Amino acid sequence: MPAGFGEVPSRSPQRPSCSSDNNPNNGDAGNFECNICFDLAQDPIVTLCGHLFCWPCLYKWLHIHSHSQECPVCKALIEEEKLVPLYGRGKNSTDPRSKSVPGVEIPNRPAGQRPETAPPPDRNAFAQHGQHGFGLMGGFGPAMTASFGNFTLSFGGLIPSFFNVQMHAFTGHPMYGNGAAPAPAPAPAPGFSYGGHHAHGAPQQRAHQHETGFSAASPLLIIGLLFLWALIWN
Amino acid sequence: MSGGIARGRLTEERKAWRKNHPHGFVAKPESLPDGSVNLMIWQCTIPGKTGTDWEGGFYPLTLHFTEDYPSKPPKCKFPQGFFHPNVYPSGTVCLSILNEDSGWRPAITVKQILVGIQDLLDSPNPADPAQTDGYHLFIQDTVEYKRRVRQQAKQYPPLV
Repeated sequence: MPAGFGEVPSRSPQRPSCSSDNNPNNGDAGNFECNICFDLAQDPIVTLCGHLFCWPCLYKWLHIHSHSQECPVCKALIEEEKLVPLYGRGKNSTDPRSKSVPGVEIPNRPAGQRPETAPPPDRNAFAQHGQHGFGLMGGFGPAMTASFGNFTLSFGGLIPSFFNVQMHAFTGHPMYGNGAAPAPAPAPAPGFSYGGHHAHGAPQQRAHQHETGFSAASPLLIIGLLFLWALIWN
Repeated sequence: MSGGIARGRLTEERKAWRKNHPHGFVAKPESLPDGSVNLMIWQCTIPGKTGTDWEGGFYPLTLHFTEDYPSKPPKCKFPQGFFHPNVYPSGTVCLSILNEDSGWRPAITVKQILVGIQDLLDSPNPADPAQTDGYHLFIQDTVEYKRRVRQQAKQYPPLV
């Protein structure tokens, strides 16, 4: 399963080669030419559909010439707030050959939308990779739920057939409550030696699992109890 | 010249064309008597596709660019009276990708225009007629239509 996930990002590098196939005659620089003026893009900006333009060229197309907000290459809808500027290295000042048009005021290129700075690698992340010891120490939410989650999964694995589902359902319910409450989790869970082995999943994902697991398990739970009852009766 | 990007773009178009263009096609900016070049008007030749009634003809086409190019498409004209259902009596080609309000996109190259018009020659669009002569023969009298096309091909022999 981890291998399957690992493959996904490795596929993405194919895209650039596809786009260069589109214009094999333009050489390397062709990948960085504006799709309107065909010159090296000035104040380069990229649409969500991936097409590169000079900001002045695109602005003029969107605001002066075009009747609709569509991509000059593929006609996809262009939303100005979703344009992405490209900042190469250096050269912040305006290009002297700036494509100014008399009577047309071209506003500044939209700025990049910067997500928050990535958090530094901390103990929290360390605990997620960690062994039992770290799992026990943790007062951290994620670490706790991680060990909870593994408890159910591995415990279920020990007892095959419908018991698996039963256990899952039983443990799932109180755990879900725990996840919602930010208060420090009760002690017992880390005590299980099962905890922390494969604690890689995101907490959200796990919560979801339990939710569905619980609802799906209810009928099976009843069937299982009936089965037990039948066994005892006989 | 100020005012727009038309000339810059046309310079790039010309470069690209000289580097590589489809066989049998010609496209070059108009030369003025004083030796200078007018980038805004291009004299082109479109060869009829082999295996069609248009084969053997080398059809002259003039592209008229405006200062609004490439936001607006060039006007593409065959000689006046050119026989084709989608060519106006004036010679102007009626084709969706050349229509500012429908198919035109600034990213369309001169090469794409010329190849698009070559395609149009042997596959007219009866939903969008531009002349009565060509249109009526095309939908009513295929034999005569084909004869007229072959006759016209002979009128435009290859330039030596």
